[in-house]
Amino acid sequence: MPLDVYKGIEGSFLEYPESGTPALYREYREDEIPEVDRREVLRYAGIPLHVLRNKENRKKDADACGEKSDKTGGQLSKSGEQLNNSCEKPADTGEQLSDSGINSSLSEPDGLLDSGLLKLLERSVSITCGAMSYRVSYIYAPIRWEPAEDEAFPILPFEQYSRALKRNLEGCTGVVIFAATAGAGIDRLIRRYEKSEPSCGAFLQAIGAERVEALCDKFNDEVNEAARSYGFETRPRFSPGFADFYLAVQPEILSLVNAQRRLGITLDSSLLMSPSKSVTGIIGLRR
Amino acid sequence: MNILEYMKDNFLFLDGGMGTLLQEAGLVPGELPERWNVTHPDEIVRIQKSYFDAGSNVVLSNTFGANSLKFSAEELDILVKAALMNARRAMEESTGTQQKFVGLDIGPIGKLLKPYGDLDFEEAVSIYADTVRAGVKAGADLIFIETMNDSYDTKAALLAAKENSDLPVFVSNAYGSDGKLMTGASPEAMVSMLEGMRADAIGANCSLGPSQLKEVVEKYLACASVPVLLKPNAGLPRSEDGRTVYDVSPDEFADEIRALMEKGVRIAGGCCGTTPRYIEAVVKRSKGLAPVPVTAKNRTVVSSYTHAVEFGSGPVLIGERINPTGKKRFKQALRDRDIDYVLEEGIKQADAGAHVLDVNAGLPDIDEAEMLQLIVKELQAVTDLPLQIDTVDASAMEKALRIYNGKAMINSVNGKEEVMDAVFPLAAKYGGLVVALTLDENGIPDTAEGRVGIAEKILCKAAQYGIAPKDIIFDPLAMTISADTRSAMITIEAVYRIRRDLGVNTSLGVSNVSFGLPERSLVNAAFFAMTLEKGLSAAIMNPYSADMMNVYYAYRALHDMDENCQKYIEYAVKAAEEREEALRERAEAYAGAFGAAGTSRSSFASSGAGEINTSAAGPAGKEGLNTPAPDPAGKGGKSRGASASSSKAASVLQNAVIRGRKEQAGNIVQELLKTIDGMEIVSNDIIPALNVVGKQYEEKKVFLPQLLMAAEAAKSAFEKIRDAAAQKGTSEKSDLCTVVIATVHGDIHDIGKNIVKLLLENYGFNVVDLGKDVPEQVVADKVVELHAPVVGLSALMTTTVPAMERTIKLLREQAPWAKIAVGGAVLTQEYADAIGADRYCRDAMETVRYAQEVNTV
Repeated sequence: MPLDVYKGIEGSFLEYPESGTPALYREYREDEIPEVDRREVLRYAGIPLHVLRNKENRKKDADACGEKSDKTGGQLSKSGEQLNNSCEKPADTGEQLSDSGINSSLSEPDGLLDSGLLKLLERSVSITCGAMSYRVSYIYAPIRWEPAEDEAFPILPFEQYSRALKRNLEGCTGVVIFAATAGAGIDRLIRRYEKSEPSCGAFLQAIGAERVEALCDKFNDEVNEAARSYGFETRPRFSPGFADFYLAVQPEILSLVNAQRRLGITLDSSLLMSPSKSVTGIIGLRR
Repeated sequence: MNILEYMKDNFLFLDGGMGTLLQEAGLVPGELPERWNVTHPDEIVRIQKSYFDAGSNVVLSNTFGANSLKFSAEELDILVKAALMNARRAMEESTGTQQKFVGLDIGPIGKLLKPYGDLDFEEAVSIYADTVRAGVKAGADLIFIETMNDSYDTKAALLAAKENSDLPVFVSNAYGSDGKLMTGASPEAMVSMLEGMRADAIGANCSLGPSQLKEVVEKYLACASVPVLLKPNAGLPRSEDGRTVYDVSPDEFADEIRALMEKGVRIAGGCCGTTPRYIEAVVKRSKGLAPVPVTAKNRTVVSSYTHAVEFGSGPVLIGERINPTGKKRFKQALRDRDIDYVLEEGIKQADAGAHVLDVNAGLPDIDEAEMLQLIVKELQAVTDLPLQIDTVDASAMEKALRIYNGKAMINSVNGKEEVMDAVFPLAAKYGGLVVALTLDENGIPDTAEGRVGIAEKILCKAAQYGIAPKDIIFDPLAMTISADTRSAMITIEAVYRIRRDLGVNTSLGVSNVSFGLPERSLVNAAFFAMTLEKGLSAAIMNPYSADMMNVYYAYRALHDMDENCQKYIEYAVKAAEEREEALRERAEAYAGAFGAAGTSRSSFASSGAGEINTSAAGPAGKEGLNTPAPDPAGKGGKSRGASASSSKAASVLQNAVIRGRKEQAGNIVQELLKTIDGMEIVSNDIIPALNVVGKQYEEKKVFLPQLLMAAEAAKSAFEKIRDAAAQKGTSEKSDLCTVVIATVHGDIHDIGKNIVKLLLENYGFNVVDLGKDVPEQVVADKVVELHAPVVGLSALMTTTVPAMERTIKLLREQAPWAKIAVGGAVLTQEYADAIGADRYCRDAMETVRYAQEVNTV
């Protein structure tokens, strides 16, 4: 697709849904997405990583977590899972603890993870069963680098400029721009349980956040594989809301991937997406 | 010729995709296609003419995104007018000899409606209305609402079309591969709602290819009594040599469409990826095919935003609990605008197995219309059950029906002319299944014949309003046998005759039959079984009643309505388990309450205001909690009198709260209440337990979900205490101060605020929750009215912080005494200082602490 097409674009509405290159569309069955990662859910629910770790790893992880979680927040994400985009994949979660691993930490002296809590977690997971849908809509766009002074700037199919994004895309010749959603069903559940059982509501929030991230990971894996076959490597995915890549770009990105029509994603006046468990992002490709 | 007349004997062919063709003509991404009506009229005419040339009967104006959210009123008028002129010109220039029409195309606004989004329903209606009026003025032959992926948004658009024009309205929804709309509606639910509102043709477009939409279309054909339309994509887009192509060719497309026309589709066209070649193929391929007649399906259904409930194929249970009549606690909740209490009642009934929820907010001293609308709005956001709107006030009925997301039950009309004239027009406009009571100006006939006679009269009158018998459900009135022992048999006879002679459905408020008798549920259940056997379709009943539910499941199993008795078995097994669990819990609670007699202890510090030191007792749930704690504040020393024996129970109760064991906490309190005063339990046991958890939370030893679990357990304990107080006719209001909380204007996020509310209530504060998106003046008025000493404001987004600042400023002017705490994701101490708040509260616990601080001053 010729890049010039994108020159001189104005306005930042959720545009006419048929406009733009028809976006590509990918839908996943429940069994194509890895099972709910309980540890991630607990983490999203505000239980710090060090509590979830095996004793021996605890000290090291506490440090790592504290340091990295500050970075993952972005300008708005003080309470990450309430906002749509969880930005770059947060701190490496290290080796996965099995369920029994979580349970074993229960027997530790401070008993921070009580069995009632884990029971609630399991019940929350089962409530979301069948309520999720996993859909991604995306386009591929080449990038041209416009030389200016002593550095070059990427010309992307949207207006907003971000230094952090530019750094992320260093050396890239193309990007995949995508929107992913875990669907509206989880939002209904969250609302219901926040009224009747807020503790369960908190877990549903966390599960939703974990699910849409799992979806992004799955999609990202596929992009990585396709890129590799063409001799490209991929950059870590980058989302609006992170650093100086402001949410103001959301209308343009959603319009590019035809998200309103394909995925049913709408924006409210604060530029937050609905369904709330949705993510937009950019994956840079370079040789 | 009128399009509806033409459709009676003919297929109607629509046009195909527009966007791709416009891009080929030079439209660039980001450019608004509607502006091309004015800037490139010849291109638009050329494309539209090519559709007429290909055989389309209807070409839609290039107005998919033409709405007053994107364009000024002036520009909107100009664009819509130009769009319809272009379509007319295309029609005149086309050489096609078929009947031709021009449709006003309306697509979704692209905003989600409240409560999930931030666009108000009425605002949406008025945005659509602007486009409709412009289209009518510009001479459209019909209105075509399409690609709607949310049922509520669809309702807003259809309502706007109906209220602002007499043109035929076609409504088409975009279904996902799961066969549902994005926000969950099934085809049956959409058919129910759209037919109720008198759409002239309905169906599906966009999102998928014709073969993937087959199941959706078949469902439409099975239940729709109006013509069904289909306008699919040319399959799914995929990448080919760096270009995006659709995967269904014109010929395949035409074959698949023809197959569905053979099954009954009457109106066909194409959406994304289709071109005049596709339409030409469809027209050609369907030559010689005779249209399948459209027949009335006579299904009696109601629907919610997700699904339809059909009457006549098995007993329908209508939960009766959302009703203040005879319920002190419920009345209090309505007066306090405690909507959460009402919502919980709804959720519990859904969990108990109700299929429909009756909603009644009739209290003499409140604004019923406003309250009913509020409850319906909130209730349909937390439950997917269809609602039965229950009011005698026609204006309240209209307000509720208007914002209801689906086809509601309307409770009720009766044989009185005046009532029918007030209610039937509402049913005709908004759709609905009308509950008709068999009484009239002369009262309730005391014979079955008399009641059937009134039913006939009601059907006649309904027909005058265009309401078919399928949309009336008769309630031949159950009356207590304690007043007249013949009354049950008369009612049962009336049920039978109405079903047999009039062929319509029936419903009864079964519980009335036992009024004045002991052990009412025994009589109710037997009466329920007897009437079901005589053909009763639905019952307004108490879904918490095991006796009633037993009858329901057993009846279905016995009537071969339950394959392999599966549902019955599931129900029976679960019921048995729950009985055992309840017994065990009660035994535990009993043992806790009375098992350890004689061990007296000094009480914990009370009042919730002081810094309680019970956390010194050690980690949650450890035996240490049994250790009596000193009374640091010195004001908790009230004698526990007769309750000296209850310290063990108290510690069990504290443990239950700390551990977040809801049921257990409730049960123990139930037992304790037999001997101890409610407020004493609160101050001596519940508050200290909450303090333990709160302290641990602050020390990061427990986390939000655990804090919430404890809060819920405490809440369930409070509920028992409040119920007991309501029974006694007293109200257990604590002497702590009032806290007014709200999410500021423009902000629709209330997660954090709800948690603050829960915790504040736990600690005994009188919380007045104004909800979310609350205008400044509303906050100030309430604070002044109650002279509230503490106000909590929440904002999630940077964009709404200015609204918070304005609210604070107004409060400083009008309620200078009030202390203002602020919180929310976006706030920081600096922010809070900058906008003049008294305190920034990082989380819900901090808000509680601050309120305690203010309270003690």
